[in-house]
Amino acid sequence: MKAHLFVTCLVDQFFPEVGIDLVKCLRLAGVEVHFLTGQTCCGQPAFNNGFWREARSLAKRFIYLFEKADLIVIPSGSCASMVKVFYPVLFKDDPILLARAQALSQKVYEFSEFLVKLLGIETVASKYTGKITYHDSCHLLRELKIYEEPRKLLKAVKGVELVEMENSEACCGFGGIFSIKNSDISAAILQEKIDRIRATDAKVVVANDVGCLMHIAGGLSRQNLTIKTRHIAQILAAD
Amino acid sequence: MKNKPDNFHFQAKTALNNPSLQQALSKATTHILNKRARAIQELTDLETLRDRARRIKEQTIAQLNHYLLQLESEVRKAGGKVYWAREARDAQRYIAKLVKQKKAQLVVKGKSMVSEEIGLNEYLEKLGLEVVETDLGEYIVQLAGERPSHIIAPAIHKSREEVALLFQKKLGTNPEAEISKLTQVARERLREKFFQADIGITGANFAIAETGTIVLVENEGNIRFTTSLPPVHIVLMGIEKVIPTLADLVVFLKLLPRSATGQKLPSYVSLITGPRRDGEKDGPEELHLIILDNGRSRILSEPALRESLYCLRCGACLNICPVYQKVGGHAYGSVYAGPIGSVITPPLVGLYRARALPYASTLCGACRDICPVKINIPHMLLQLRQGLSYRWNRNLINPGYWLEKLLTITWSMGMKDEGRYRFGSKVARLLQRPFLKKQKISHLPYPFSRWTKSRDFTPLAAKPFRIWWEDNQRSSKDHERAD
Amino acid sequence: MKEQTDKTRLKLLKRLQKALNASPSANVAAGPCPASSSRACSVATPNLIPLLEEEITKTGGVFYLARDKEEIAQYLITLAKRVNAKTIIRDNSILLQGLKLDGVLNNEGLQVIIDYSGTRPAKETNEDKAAWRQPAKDAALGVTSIEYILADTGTVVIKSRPGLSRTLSLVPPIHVAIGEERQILPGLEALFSQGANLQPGSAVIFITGPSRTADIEQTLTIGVHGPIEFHLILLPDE
Ligand code: SF4
Repeated sequence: MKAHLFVTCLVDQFFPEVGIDLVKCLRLAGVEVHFLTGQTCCGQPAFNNGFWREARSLAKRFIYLFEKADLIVIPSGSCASMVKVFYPVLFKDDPILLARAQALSQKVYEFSEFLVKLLGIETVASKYTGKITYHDSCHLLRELKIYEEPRKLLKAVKGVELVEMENSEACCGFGGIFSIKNSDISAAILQEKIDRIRATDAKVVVANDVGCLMHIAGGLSRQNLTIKTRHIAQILAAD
Repeated sequence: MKNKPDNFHFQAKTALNNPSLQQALSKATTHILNKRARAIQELTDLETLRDRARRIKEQTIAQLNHYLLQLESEVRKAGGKVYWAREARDAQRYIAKLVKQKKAQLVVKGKSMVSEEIGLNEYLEKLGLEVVETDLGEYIVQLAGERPSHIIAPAIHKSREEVALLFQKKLGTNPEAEISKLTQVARERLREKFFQADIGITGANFAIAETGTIVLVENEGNIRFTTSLPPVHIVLMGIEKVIPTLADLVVFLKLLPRSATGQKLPSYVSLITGPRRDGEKDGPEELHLIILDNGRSRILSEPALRESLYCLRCGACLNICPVYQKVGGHAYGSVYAGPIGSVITPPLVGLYRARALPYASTLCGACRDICPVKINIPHMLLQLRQGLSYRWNRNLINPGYWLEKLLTITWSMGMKDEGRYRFGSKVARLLQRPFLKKQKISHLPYPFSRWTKSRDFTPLAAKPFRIWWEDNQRSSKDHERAD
Repeated sequence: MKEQTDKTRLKLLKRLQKALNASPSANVAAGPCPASSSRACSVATPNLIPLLEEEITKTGGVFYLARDKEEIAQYLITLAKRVNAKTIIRDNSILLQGLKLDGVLNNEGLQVIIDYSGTRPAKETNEDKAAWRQPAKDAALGVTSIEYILADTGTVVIKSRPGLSRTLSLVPPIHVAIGEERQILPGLEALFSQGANLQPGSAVIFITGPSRTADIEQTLTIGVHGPIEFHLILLPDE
């Protein structure tokens, strides 16, 4: 099977190691991974902040670039929702681009969804010893309705003890531009998340979105806590 | 000073810095959410019910004129009077005329968000009337000279000690902080008011077009008193409250109390059709229904926002909202707080005045998931943000706006072309150097300082992923060749 | 007060129509609303009394299954003694008349007031008005018949009418509802499928348990404005 990887600008620029592990996981699953170096950002930051004109131009670019791909895998719930859910919103008054956006959205899969739903993967070869806890990223959970898939995958990893934190579905307070515009509220929400992570005693917190992870990591690091943040691919690729 | 929507950031900060408020909020929202979860679980056909409720609202609102006219004629048939108010002041004046005609001195009120919306209490007090809120929460808030901070639990922000102090100060009671005693005080004080009142004013949870029936849902009994004892009953309702038939009510009676307070049914549901009939001993002699627009038609004409009119005012979206949980209702500076408030306040008071509200959300979507009528709040907030971003003329003297615009445009230019993207990522790596200490960034210039104030920032990686990919491709090609 | 002139009313209606036209309801699904799966069951209903009892108890109410009519008077006497009641007010329904309570209660020194059903004078003085309400104010117990009982929520439905005033179930600190087994319905659906029976009546009230509030610290407190106690006495079918 051939799949195109859209790593997202955050992974590309901040977390290349996540990208490397993504490629590894996909290859282990027998997927022929393609990466278009023309890719940049899906336009979500502009879209969420209300700058739809700018978001539209990036969305158009994305559509042109990825239209020919059969399958597109995105390791982020929010970027995958941007393409699947919000591109059609952006082009709702442009029938041609709307049709193209809708066609594209059919081919987009979030990473864990791709592995579980499309490839039917149930076992993984990796090993990772220790307690981990999983944070549900909001867009992944509520725009894409992905809840079970990442848990299934994590539980399949040898040595992993998955401890659910209280209210894992609660937002971490990131919200993109929200974390800057309403930074105090954002920090207060994050604190609650951090307290709940700490209460599980896990050494690692896993999510499917590096945006949330970056936010959580920022709080953990400021408070000199040693709990690590990991994208799910990093756990699935560990040996 | 009254809180205003323009002041959201300041008000939010005040709330965050108030430890007793933080405690009260977290306790109360957790409690209501737990109760709701238990009550909702009992509904085996929850999704069907939600779909049905939404469909009823959709179809009614789509033919709003028809149903409002039917409601009007049925209310009249039952002996009630109907008044159509386009703006807040129309409703105010109508009530003022009525007050004058009846020589009224004392007005008792059952909880009504609409009356808050049109500032009715202040208006009537200026006319020299005594206006008494009778819902316990509202009574507390009124004594404190505040506004309700939650649709369902108006005094959610107050602890029992604060209420006891307030009662002591305003009513001269013992400063006993026992909740049952405080409740007893309210019972005694308000009982007399009910018997003396000249006019009772309530909102409406639903109005049934088919029968001209006003439906009111409550737990305390204050609404029953308000609708039974005073000789005049005034119902203030927004245009969106009408539903077609009594049969339609079932689905809402199953969803509303469960979502609002976690109850199967509240203590009292009153179905009121016209004033008292011949031979009846109590009930009002006159019933006036005021149908209020006050900006709702603006929402109606906006396809992207229309579904906000389906709201049942259950308050569930407030309880689940991570932002509301932290800042409480007063921070929003609007009668309607929380996620749904952030959607309907801008069209009601003006988008520019309420410009902070659409951004007062992480867009986490928990509000949509919990909403009994599945209102897509996050998507509407996005629409409102879009409406704001191009209002340059309103933002002429707002430097923050221009900075944001400049950053967005520069950023999107960089993202639009691979060469520029690569160049930009190199420049960014140079720029971050002075801030990088021990693989951490703990200080950044404005506006990013807002992040680093409480969180570290992840530095850009030494090499982007794409460089790795290109190297990897090259070496595997070399490999192939070598084979 | 004069009815509103047609002009302002029409203006508002026009405004609404314009708004509706501006945003045609493209996304509104046509056709009837999806039916709720939990329909009123038309098959013979099982014995609903245990469920009813459970639900009433859950809401903080008291349920009592009387063996016969005589027991009802006894129940009321015990209740009245417990709270030191002097006066009881009751409606003038056929059911309550038939129970012949008044004599038994009088013998125990309890005064029974029967809700009045005459017409009120057109021009009332304030004293008149106060007088109408005084009886309910004085009574410690309000005893009423009811229209329906909903088992799955523990609710009683009362229709106001001459001789059954709204205040009877509201003003006295204790409300005792007396119902018959045949009035029991499974729940809301069944009730509204007989919708016509809720009409006419200036007020139809659904009562579920005593008056309550959680407005201070979300702590449940019983009896804020309405009755502090709610009792349902059920007479089994013969
Ligand atoms: S938007 Fe939905 S959840 Fe929020 S108050 Fe309205 S009905 Fe309740």
